[in-house]
Amino acid sequence: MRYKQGDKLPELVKEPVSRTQLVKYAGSSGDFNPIHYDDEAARAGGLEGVIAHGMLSMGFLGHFIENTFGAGSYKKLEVRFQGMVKLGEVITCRGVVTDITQEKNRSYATCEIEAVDSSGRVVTRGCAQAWLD
Amino acid sequence: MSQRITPEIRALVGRKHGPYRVKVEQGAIEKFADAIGDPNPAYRGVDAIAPPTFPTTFRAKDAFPDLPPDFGDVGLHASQVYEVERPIRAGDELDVSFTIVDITEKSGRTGDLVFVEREYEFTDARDGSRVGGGKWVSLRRFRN
Repeated sequence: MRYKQGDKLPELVKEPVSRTQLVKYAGSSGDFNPIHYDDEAARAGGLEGVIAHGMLSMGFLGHFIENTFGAGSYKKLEVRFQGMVKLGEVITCRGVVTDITQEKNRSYATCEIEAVDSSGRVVTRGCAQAWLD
Repeated sequence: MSQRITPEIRALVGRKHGPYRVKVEQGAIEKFADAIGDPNPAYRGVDAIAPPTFPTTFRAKDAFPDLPPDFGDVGLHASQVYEVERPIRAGDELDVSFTIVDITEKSGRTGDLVFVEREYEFTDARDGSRVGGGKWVSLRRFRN
């Protein structure tokens, strides 16, 4: 598919976030902040219970971008973590192409992207650039 | 006006850490993609490339400049940027460094927030070419 400005990207719906996934993400990323697997530690920090790593939601958006434009296509990924992701939450990644830029002999798409939870609340939002060729 | 950012904390701005060497391993890439739930075959095998957010694994092993561990009630992630000149691949050896470029504070609805902004650089250890970089903004929250 040849994307152009204004195109919506096909949505990516992730599996529900499980505690096992957070433990796997902690182990593979090296982020062992206990608020991501220990409810008591999360509550001590003023949270209701464990929350997903913000970086996991950014990882979902990376999955979304390379699923759309191809593995190795990503040039830049820039996000703000706006909301917390609780256990069991189903995250949907969506986006729209805002620009196509020529650079030397190649072109890349710039997209506004966001990860939303099952209530439609944006948890992570940002911008991605991905090579088209 | 809050006084969370003491002179000792302010002195962290401009501190650089590294470079430290990171070896990009196939198994680490696969486990990382598994954890995200991304089945893309490009992230598997001896020729695996790394998913976009894989550089989060490039953690410093030695002590590095940072806020004291007990600073604030909880540590959270505010924003993140990664950009690459080329895909990162299994077998790459990268030299990673970062600099604390800013520390700011503001009063939020639930209490004071202190933000630390760090800029990262990744270079190829074989030829010194730039591979990519990033920006990591973390925050510590003080509850009212």
